[in-house]
Amino acid sequence: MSEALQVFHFKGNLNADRVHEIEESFAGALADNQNFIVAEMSEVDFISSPVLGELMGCKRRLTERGGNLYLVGLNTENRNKLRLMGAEKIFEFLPTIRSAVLKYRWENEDKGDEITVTIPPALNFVPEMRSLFSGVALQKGYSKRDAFRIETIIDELCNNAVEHGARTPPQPVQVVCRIFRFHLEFSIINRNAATGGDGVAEIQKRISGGAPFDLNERRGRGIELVKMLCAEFSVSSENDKTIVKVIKKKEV
Amino acid sequence: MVDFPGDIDYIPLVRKFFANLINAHDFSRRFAFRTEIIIDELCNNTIKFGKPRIGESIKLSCDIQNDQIVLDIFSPRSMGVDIIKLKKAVEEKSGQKVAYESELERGIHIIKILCDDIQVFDKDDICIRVIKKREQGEEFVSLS
Repeated sequence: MSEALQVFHFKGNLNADRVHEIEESFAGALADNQNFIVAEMSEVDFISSPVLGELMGCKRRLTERGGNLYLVGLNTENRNKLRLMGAEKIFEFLPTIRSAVLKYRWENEDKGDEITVTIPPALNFVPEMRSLFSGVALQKGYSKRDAFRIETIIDELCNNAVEHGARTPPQPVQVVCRIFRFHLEFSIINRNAATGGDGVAEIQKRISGGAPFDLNERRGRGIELVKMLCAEFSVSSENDKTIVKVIKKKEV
Repeated sequence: MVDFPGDIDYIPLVRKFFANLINAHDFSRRFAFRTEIIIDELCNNTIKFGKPRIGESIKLSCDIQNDQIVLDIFSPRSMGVDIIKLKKAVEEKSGQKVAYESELERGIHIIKILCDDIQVFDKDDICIRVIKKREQGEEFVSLS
């Protein structure tokens, strides 16, 4: 649990006569400079409109101070009623306190989430891999255009990793994705002792523009495509591993 | 193998990833759908009862073989998994009358209905292994 978050547990019927009590709780938190509040509602049976109004007022005061109010654990009935009143446009309904902590960390600490996928070196795994990562981007608020571009980058780099990776014995391809609010970092790792430092240096030269690209060449188009779609692109080797790193910024 | 944060928001993406992979490997749509339910239960239970700390991740691997799939879900020992309770829920025989008092027992029961074998390993990490065999007499239909 983060210290920056203050949790209030509400119980029973939140009728109009409880507005004052709720108002005082929130006022106390604001006076203590707590700008992020979690209202835990799993034991609440009913939310009256004056109480909803008080929650909205609190949310506005917190937002003005750069904070937020998260509604957590609403039962289906209360959630539906609040939706009918249009409250979902103002509040985010989160299932658990843990979700609120993760939401807070995502929005304020920007430490990012890491997802690692390891697949066998086979091309039929690549389509699902690219769908997974574009789904992750969409889930985290990136646009459809960003998601599509991410899909293209992953497709290109994973196909290359499978194609150029060691075959005997087959070596897995690993994709490490670190997603932040405004950018994503991908590392695509394969193993192939044969590629070696010279091969990697040649690719890096091409990425940095040191070797001109001829449109009539069959090879190397993927590098140009990925360069167009991302902010940073590099390749390195470490023992028998080839590591391709890409940074894609969120388009706003 | 997918290694993802202990956050329920990632579960739909992860279960869809494996279901599509399984379907792409000539398992039926029904088989893929049932596997998706198993994965959903395993992941939700790991997050709910394992209580991963913020930043801790969950590992899920799927070995797709010709006649079966083997799912392994790993929870770090640092998570608060109640291994005794978990083993008891897993070892309960399917015909046995069980009260299913807790969500954990209900979740494990659903997995037992849908799979052929379930085991718990308690080594470096805590691992739940689920084996689901290819169902006979079902035509392969692509999800896409």
